[in-house]
This record gives sequence, C-alpha cells and structure tokens, in this order.
Amino acid sequence: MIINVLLMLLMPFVFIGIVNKTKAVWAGRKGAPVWQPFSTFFKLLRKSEVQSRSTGFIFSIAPSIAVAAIFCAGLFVPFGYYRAILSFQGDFILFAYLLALAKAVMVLSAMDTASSFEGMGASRELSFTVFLEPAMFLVVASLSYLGGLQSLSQLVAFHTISIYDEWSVIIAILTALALFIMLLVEGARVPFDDPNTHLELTMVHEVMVLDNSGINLAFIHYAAALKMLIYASLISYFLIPWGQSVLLVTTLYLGIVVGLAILTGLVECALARFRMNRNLEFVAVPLSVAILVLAALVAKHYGGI
Amino acid sequence: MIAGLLIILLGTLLSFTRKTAVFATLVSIAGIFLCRDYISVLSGQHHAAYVLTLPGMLGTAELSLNPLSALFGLIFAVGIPLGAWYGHAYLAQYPDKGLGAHLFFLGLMSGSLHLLVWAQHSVLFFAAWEIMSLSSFFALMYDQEKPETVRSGLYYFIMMHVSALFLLAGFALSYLHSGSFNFSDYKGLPLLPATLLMVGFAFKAGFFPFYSWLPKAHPAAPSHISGLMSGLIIKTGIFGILMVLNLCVMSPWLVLGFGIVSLLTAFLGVIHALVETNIKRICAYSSIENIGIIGLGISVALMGKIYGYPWMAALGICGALLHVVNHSLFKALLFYLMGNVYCQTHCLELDHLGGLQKRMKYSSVLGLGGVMAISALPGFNGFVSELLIYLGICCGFQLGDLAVNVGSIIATGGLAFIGALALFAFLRLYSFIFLGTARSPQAAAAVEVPALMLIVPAVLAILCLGLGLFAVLGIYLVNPVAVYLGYPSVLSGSLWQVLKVLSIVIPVFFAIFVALYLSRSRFLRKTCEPTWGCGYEHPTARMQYSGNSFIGPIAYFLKPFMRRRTRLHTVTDIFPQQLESHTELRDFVDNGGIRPLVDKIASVFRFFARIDSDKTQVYITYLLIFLIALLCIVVLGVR
Repeated sequence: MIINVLLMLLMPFVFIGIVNKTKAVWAGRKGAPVWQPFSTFFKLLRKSEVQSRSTGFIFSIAPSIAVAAIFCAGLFVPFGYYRAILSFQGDFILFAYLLALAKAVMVLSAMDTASSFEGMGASRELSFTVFLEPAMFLVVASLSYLGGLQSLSQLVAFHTISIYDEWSVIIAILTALALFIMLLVEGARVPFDDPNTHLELTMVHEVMVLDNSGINLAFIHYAAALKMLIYASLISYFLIPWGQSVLLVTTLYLGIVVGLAILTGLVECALARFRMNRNLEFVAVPLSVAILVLAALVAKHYGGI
Repeated sequence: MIAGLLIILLGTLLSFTRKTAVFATLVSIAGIFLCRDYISVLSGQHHAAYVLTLPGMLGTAELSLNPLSALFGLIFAVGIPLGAWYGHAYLAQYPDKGLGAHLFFLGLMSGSLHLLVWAQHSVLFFAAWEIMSLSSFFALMYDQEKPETVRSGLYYFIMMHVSALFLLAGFALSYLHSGSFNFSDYKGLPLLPATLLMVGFAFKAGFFPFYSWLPKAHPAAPSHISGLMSGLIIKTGIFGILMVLNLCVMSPWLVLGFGIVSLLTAFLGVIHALVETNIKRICAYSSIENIGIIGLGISVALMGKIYGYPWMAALGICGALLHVVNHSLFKALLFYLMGNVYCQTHCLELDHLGGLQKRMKYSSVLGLGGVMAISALPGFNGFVSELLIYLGICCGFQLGDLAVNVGSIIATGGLAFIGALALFAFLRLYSFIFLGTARSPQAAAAVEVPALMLIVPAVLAILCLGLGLFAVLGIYLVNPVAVYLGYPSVLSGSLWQVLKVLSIVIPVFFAIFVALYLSRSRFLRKTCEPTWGCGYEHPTARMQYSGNSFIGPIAYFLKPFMRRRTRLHTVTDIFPQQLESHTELRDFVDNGGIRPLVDKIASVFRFFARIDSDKTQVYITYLLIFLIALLCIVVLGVR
C-alpha cells in the first residue's frame, strides 16, 4: 500500500522525464535529465500566480480538485503488484467517473477565463471524452464477460497474457492497444495533441491551462502525468504473464511502464500530429478496438474459431 | 391523509386572496401531514385506508397506500412545498397577473398528485390523472398573453389527451377482463390493456417517441411550474409504468424492446440537450435523458427477474427508483436556478448570458452542485443511482445467454456514451451561463436574487449532496419499494462492500482537496491581470467561444441524428453588409413524426370540410340524398 502511494507520487514525473529524454535522444540532443519534471514541479510551487480578472472561485479550486480526483482514481489501480489500495466489484465505474470529475473541473476552469482559445481546448477535450468514456467502459465491460463482474485489480490479474493460449495473447494485445491509444489521447500526446506546440489554435490540453501559473500549474502537471501513469499501469498488467513472484512482477511492471514511456516518446518522434478537425475520427479508434476485444472474448469463450 | 388533502383544498379555495405566502404555508403543512403517512408506509408500519362508496356500477373505491405509491407520494410531498415557496418568491415580480387563478390550479395540481398515489380504483385514478393534466395545463399558461406560450400549452394539452385516450382504453379493457375497477383485482393483466396503459403513461413520462411535449411545455411555463413538471409530474408516468409492470408478466422480447426504447430516449434526449441553446429547453431535454436512464434501470430489473438473476434485478430496480428520487431533486434545483437567471436577465438564450458567477455568487455555487449531481459526478446523488444501474447492467455479463451478455455490454457502452454527452451538455450550460464574461447588457446588469429564491434551491442542493455522501440513506428509502415489487433486498454483502469503499473514497477525496487547497492558499502570492489573449490586446466578451462553436466537433458526428437548420446571409456585394446567421434545432420526433401525421389526419378532415358550406339549400340537399338512400335501403331490405 505504501509502495502504491509512493509510486503514485514519484513515478508520474519519471514517466514524463523518460518521454522527454527519449524525444531528445531521438532528435540527437542530450536532453534534460529524467528527473527534470521534479525540478520543474518544485520550481512552479515556489512561483507566484497570475490570475485572470475574469475568473472566479472555480478557477482557483479546480486544479486541487483535479489532483484529488485523479489520485482517488489511482487508489483503484494496482501499482507494482496486483493489489490496489481500494477495490470493489465494478469499481471501474467509480474510477471512470473520478477521471471525468477531474476533467469536468478543468473544463470549467478553462471556461472561467473567458478566453476563446481555452474554450476551444475545452470543447475539444470534452469531444474526446465522449468517445473515450464509452471505449473505456466497453473494454472493461468486455473483459468482465469472462469471469463476471470484478474489480479492476482482479480484472487485470485475470486477463494476463499466456503463451499457451493464443486467445489470451490476442485479447491482451488488443486491450493494451486500446488503452495505449487512450493514454495518448488522455495524456495529450502526439499524434492527438502536441504538448510542445507554440500555436494555441492547435492545442487541446495545453491551451486549456493557458492561464494557469505557479502552484496551480504544478498541480495540473502532476495530475496530467499521474493520469498517464494510471493508464500505463493498467496496460502493463496485461503484458505480464500470470503466476510470477512478487519481485518479478514488480520488476516487469516497472520495466513495462518505462518501456511505455519510451514508446510514447518514440511515437511522438515518428508521427506528426493529426489534423485537428480530423482528430475526433481517430479518437473513435479505441471504441472499435474495444469491440474487437469483445469479439475475441466471445470467440475465446466458445473455444476459438 | 384526509387532513393533508383538506389543507391543500383550503389553500386552493383561499387562492382568491392572492396570497402566495398563505398558499405555500398551507401546502407545506399539508406536506408534513402527508409525509407522515408516506414514511410510516415506507418503514413498514400500519397505515390508514379509506373506503369511498361511489355511485352506480363504480362500486367502492379504496384509498390506500403501498410502498410504491408511498415513495412517489413522498417525492410529491417534499417537492410541492418547495415548488410553492419558490413560486411565492418567483411570482413576487409579477404582483397582480392572474395570481388567483394560477394558485387555484397549482392547488388542484398538488391535490391531484397526492390523490393519484392514494387511488386504488381505476376511475378515481383516471379522474385524478385528468385533474392533474388539466390543472398543470392551466398553471403552465401563466404567461398566456405570449403566443408562444399558448401554442406550447395547447401542444401539451393535446398530447396529454392522446395519452388519456390510451389510458382510458387500457382501463376499459382491464375492466372488461377482470370485471372490477379495483387495482387489486388486476393481477395478471393481459398484454393488450397493459401495453395500452404503458403507452399512455409513456406519454406523461416522456419516452421516445412521445416526448415531444416536454421541450415545448417546460420553457413556456414559469420556472416554478417547470420545476414541478419536470421534477414531479413526469414521474407520475414512471409511477404508472411501475404499477402496470407489477400487475402483468412481461416476455423477454418486450423487455428488450423497452430497454432499447429507453436507450433511444436517453440518447435522443441528451443529444438535443447538447445542441439546444435555450437554457430551459436544455433542462427539458435532459429530463428526457434521465427518464431514459430510469427506463433502462427498470428494464435491467425485468431482465434479471425473467432470467432468474435476483441480484441484477434488485440493483436495476433500486437504481431506477433512486434515480427517480434523485432526478426530482436535481432537476427541480436546476429549473429553479434557471428561473433565477431568467428573473435577473429576462433572457433564456445561452449565447446572451455569461459571467453571472460574479454577480450571482450563491446561485452559481448552487448551480455547480446541480450540474455535478445531474452529470453523475461522484459525491452527489446522481452518481449513486447511476452506479447501481451500471452494476445491474454489468451483472448481465454473467447470464448464460450470449445475446443478453453482448446486449448488456453494449448497454454499458451506450450508457457511458450518454453519460459523457450529458456531462458535455451540462458543462456547456454551466459555463455559458455562469462563467466567462457577460455576453449581453442584461447579463452584465444582473444582481443576486432575493434570499428565498436561494433558500429553496439550497435545500434541494443539500438533499442532493446528502444523498450522494450518504448513499445508504437513499438505498434505505427505495429498498422497501423494491421488496414490495417482488425483488430481493439489495442490501447485501456485495453492496456493503461498494458502500464501504465509497465511504472511504469520498472523505479521502475531500481530505486531499482541502489539504492541497489550504496549503496553496497559505503560500499563494498572486497578481491579477486580464486573460491572456495570445498576444491580442483587447479581447471582448463577444470573442468568447459561443454555445454553437463549443459543441462544433461533436455536432459534426451527431449530425445524422438531429435536424439543424442554419440560415446564413453571406456577403454578396463588394461592400461590407450586415451579416446574419441563424441556427435552429428542430426536434425530429415533432417535425418528422408528429407534424406529418397531424397533416395527414388534417387532410382527411379537410375532405369533410369541403362538403361543409354556409348555404341552407346544400344541407337540405344532403338531407334529401340521405333520406332517399335510407328509403332505398329500407325498401331493398324489406324485399
């Protein structure tokens, strides 16, 4: 349990650090050290804030709520070994709604600034949610098809990959694919969104937090990174074979999370950002992958094709 | 009960004094009397039953309660006094505008709602139903000098009478089948009357394809009536449906159909709520969405019952009933707040509002609560009921039937889609009313409303939050009803686990939030500057995102499901001209289904209208033709 909390506090920064390092190395630069996001976080905590005159109370409380909501969502996700701090049968609903709560307050705080750019970002973010939310529910609901309604931590343990069962490989890979695309969208990464772009018109997540600064911005950075880590953790369990020792699982878990961070960085290097007005069509991809997962599960249940 | 109804009657009769405060007080006292009855029934204690002897063949009518009607009665007994008090404050801005008549019909409406849940006799029930429909029609027509209100009111009136027609047919067939007017003799109702009754009730509840009156009637009514109609009156439809379902046995296919209709209702409701720009109509469409969710819960319960899976059935029915309770709270809350907004700005257009957060601080905080409750975000009551419905659907994964498995998985995805769209719609509603800067002079001039117009929503918001934080209270409230309807008790080990985790997560959430916020406030040094305009120096209020552009990306995908008309006057000349763009959302149930149907019926009647004339001779000719025809028939018949 302490390990879970520690990982939730520290790993998000490392995750972002690795992504940035990968990009730098690929581009032939030396790059900032992996713990640079830590330094940025603490630097931001020391800074003063500039607030827009048109904002009200929502703007100042939103980042704190977002961190609290995402952290609570993280309590349902196993980190390290197959054990989440909290769980109940069907906890993925609460998990998804806590993430939605974080998103809702961030959208409200963006709208609070009366900036058309932030309105644009909020609108895009919500449009993505409309497709991601059902995809998330469909994936998890499909996985519950075998073995019934379970908690998230039981679910990831139940559907681990096994080389003796070709269907489990298919299911694990498809699920990991769907969740990885969700990670890219939710984490506001290329090809859906570019965290480093300099044109506000083309941003999604970054443009929503344009008016945030200082402590609030630090909170937002942490919340966004934690959300990516949560998705990465969910993915990693599908790729760890079942029945290993605690130590091995934890090591594999850390390895896969680092691997996913590198993969995210590589995707950013290899792909250009999608055209903004076509973005939503790609966001619908996890939805179709989710349906494939369901098809694979049904096939597995009926003994393969 | 008698005392309660008499006090409401007294309030109704005293309406000629035009004292809204007297009326509201009397209704509240009546509410307390009636609440006592309802709560005693819900807690399983003995309660009084009254027997009325009706004239002629009608026999004796029993006025009594069962847990189902007690739950709905309780919703009415809490909702009506709050509505009356809000009305007292709201009507203060129109000191003498037909107040007496309005209060009279409001009183009749309140009385008939309570009579409806007590009546165990179909004729009495139908009479109460008609009084309710008619009095709500008259109460709705408060602004009768506006042609828009008259049109919407008449639409409501006609739809309610089409509904009454179905109910009348249903009750008549039930009488033929059982030979009795008493509901207690209707056990094992055949399919035809049951379906007719369900259709009749579906009109009131606002199921697809009968919902088209809701988005018309709600914006036309004064806000306290909108709140009462959306919070309470449409729930009578759900009450009726549950009552009928309790009497008959459904086949799996019908249940599946009901589930699909519910999902469609919710989906159509929410996409219209998303695109609509009239703030009251957004709330009306969202009522349709919530009715769909309630219907989905009911169909999950029926599915569980048919397939012999009691846990699923119990979760479904409890989720549906709890959602009825919750919706009556948060929808009334939202309508009252829309009333506050209208009161101060006299504007219902989303794109003309904005920035009210700073001028109407308390309303905006309450509005945030309402929006979070209706979007089912954790911590508020909407989440608890949707969680139960989701859990119920998820139980369908374990049933043996592949169709049910896949169906329930799709339903989970569908409900998530609807939930995300609802979140979108309500974040849009809230942001464009309360956040940003004012988009029109009226919005810029708004000030906070009087205290009473805040106290009533505040009570509702506290109830919403209370039922969200202490989820078990709501479940205790609806569980006896589920048991009465023949479902097992939902309070078992699994649910305790869920509630236990909820009771850990919510305090943890608040602890983290408060800790972060307080430490931030402790170390915060801030300066205030204008919003960063990306280099642009003078951003104005009109440069903010508009309601239509906000939903632009998603509306592109939802285009096949709705009819939007856009009129755009573009530049045709080389010199600058006045440009104009006008977007209108048309409901396709109304425009694509009902209007063509009405036109067809009207063209049939127009044929008869053609033989009508103002000359007496023509009628004499018709009479002659008829007599000759009759003569021929008689003569031929004799031969």
